[in-house]
Amino acid sequence: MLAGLAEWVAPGQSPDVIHFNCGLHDSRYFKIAGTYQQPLANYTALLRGAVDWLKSNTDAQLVWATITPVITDRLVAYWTARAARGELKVEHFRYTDDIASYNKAAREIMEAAGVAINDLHAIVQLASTEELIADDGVHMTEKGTRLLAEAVADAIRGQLGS
Amino acid sequence: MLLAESKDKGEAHGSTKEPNLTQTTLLIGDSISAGYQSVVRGLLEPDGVEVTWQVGGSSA
Repeated sequence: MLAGLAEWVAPGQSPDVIHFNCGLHDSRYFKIAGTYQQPLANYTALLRGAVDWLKSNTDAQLVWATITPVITDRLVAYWTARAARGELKVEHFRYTDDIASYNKAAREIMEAAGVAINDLHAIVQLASTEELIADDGVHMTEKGTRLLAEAVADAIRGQLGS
Repeated sequence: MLLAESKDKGEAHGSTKEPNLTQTTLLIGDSISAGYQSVVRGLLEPDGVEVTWQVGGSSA
């Protein structure tokens, strides 16, 4: 994300609202290497960099979206089954506790920076993680996608005052 | 880094009439937002809000 910001936001053409998220990629744990795609310390440093860049280079109202839940048992079963069928190699997993840690760190950064938070993680949990997360344990069902879209649209409307 | 540009404005809610977009929003996210971004566009563009989307992927 950080590397793309200057390309996505042209000088003098700030959007009114920027609604942003990252973390599902960063928190992937690579079993063979024994490391995360972005260990938590790297993630927080990069996220601070992104927030600093956005606040320095745009006039946008910023909204951070929390990382949506994963269901580790479900994703392990899904990807292991696909690997057993020879469809792919399983190189990484995601864990619920890691998502919580990454979300906690991100929240601290956003609160310190005065960035609004759209807690999509909580919205999914309150509605029904079991029902809204797809068979792969990470992505949303159609119902989950609709729920998130409405939450994002509401958050943006709130920032625009409409 | 993988980049993706949003599709043409105004298509998401099935209208051939170009909406009068007066406010702009940029969504940055991963494959979760890839799923909902077109729905968000359909919800906001009738209110005059232009929605674009970029794949941020990881924090890097």
